[in-house]
This record gives sequence, structure tokens and C-alpha cells, in this order.
Amino acid sequence: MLTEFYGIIMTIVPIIIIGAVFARQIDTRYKNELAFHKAIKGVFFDDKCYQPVKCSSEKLEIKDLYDIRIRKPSKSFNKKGSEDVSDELQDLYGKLEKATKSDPYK
Amino acid sequence: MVFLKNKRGSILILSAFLIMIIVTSILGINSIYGNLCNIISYQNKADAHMLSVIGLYVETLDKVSWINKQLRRIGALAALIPFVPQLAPLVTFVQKITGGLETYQDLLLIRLKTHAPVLDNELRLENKLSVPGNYHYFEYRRQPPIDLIFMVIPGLIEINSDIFNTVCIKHKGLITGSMACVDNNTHREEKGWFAPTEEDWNVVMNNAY
Repeated sequence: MLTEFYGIIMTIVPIIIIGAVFARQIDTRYKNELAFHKAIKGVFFDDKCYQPVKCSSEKLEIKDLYDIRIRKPSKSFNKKGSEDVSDELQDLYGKLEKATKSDPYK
Repeated sequence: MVFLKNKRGSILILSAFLIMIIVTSILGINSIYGNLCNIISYQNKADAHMLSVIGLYVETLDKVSWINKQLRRIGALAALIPFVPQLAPLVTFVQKITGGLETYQDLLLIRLKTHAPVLDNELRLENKLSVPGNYHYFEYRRQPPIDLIFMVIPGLIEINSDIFNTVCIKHKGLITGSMACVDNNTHREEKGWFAPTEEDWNVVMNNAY
């Protein structure tokens, strides 16, 4: 009887430990995926990045998970209002100045 | 002996059965979570792709609308020039500005036309999403220029209201599809052609979760 008991314990315990480790890894990945989801909406709509995601204008990345290639627009979707975009205006005026100096059709 | 053997055998069978239940339940729960992670992962990539491409449209449309607004303002101000002779030296300057704005608007629209499909496919390939994607485009035209005799003000860019249906990025998801389209608070209900002058272009999303 004792031999069977030891046999059962020795089989079940590693299975439970391996399962628990595996479950923990999946749980971490699930949390990271949800963080990614939040970060994607944050980057495009509110110009915010949430931990543990690393955000740049070309890439969203979580270490040890994966990265997603993106193209971040110059202005986030929820940041609107035409009269207070001084950077945007300066940029446009710079391009306008170049455009008036040279004719692209020549 | 036979009794013991049977008892031992039945314990072993029972134990094997219990171990099987434990292993199956652990693997089952983990595989459910694993599949859920895969679905969210695909959805994240699809969302990022849709927002990136739609972002290019929104960015361009915002700038085109802003230039429309400036051209309209300049047109209104230029109409005052004959009544204020002191402003006459400004005619050449204003002409150059309007010409520059018109060229910049044209370049923005050409860039969008060529870059949007390329960006779409590039991001689909790099993020390992389904290829090829759907068509996305919009029709636009320029209004006739306004001739003020002493100067010509370029016409505004007009956009067909079909834009709200044709500029949509779609994905066939693992459970249900998802889609992102351009949206505009002012012109959402518009029929036919309209000339946007407000930078209120936005994105409307419809996805699985």
C-alpha cells in the first residue's frame, strides 16, 4: 500500500508543480496581452503608453513577449482642436515655405 | 493473495484515473487560457494595424481640412483688398501662399494614395496578419478656382460622402471580424460632396471585444 501511495505522490506532485508553473506563465502572458490592448488604444487615441509596454512611433513592445509594428500618426485621435496646435502649424509653415520656394512639377 | 492483488490493482486503476483527471484539467485550463491569449494577441495586432493605416488617412484628412479652412479665410480676406488699397502689395504674397497651400494639399493627397496601400500590406506582413487586405480609398475633387481679377484663389478640396464606407480597414478575426473606419462629427450624415474645414476627423472601431 505504501509503495502505491509513494508512486501516486511522486507522479502527482511533479505534474501539479509543472502545471502550476505553466499556468503562471500563461497568466503572465494573459496580463501582458491585456496591457498591450490597453497600450494600443492609449497610443493611438490618447497619446499615452502603459507599463510594461514600451512605445515608440514605429513599434510597441513587451520584453520577452513580442513586438507589433505600427505607424503612429502625428496627432492622437482624441487630441483635436485646430487653434492650439502650434507645433503642427510651425511644421506646416516650414513645409509651406519650402513649397513656395520650389516648384515640384518642374 | 488474489484479494490483495485485486485491491492493489484497483488502487492503481483508481490512482491512474485520478492522475488522468488532474492532468486533463490542468492541460484543459491552460489550453483555454493559451487560446484566449492567442485570440487577444491576434486582435491586438489587427487593432494596431487598423489604427496605423486609418491614422494615415485621419492625419491627411486633418491637414487637408486645415488647408481648406485657411484657403477659405484667405479668400474672404482677399475680397477686402480692392476696398483697402494699402493691402495691394500683399497680393503677390497672398498668391504665393495660396499656391503653396494648394501644392501642399495635392502632395498630401498623392502621398496618401500611394502610401496607404503600401503601409497596409507592409504592416500586415510584418505583424503576420492575413494578406491581402481589403480596398480602401476615397474620391475627392477640387472646386473651381475663384477669380478675383487681380488674383486667383484655388478651390477647396471636396470629398465624396462615400468615404465613411470606403475608408475602412477590415480583419477576419478568429471569432468575429473587426473593422475600423474614418469618422467625422460634422459631416457624418452628409450626402454627396462636401468640403471639410474642421479637423474633427476620427476613427470608429467595431471589434470582437
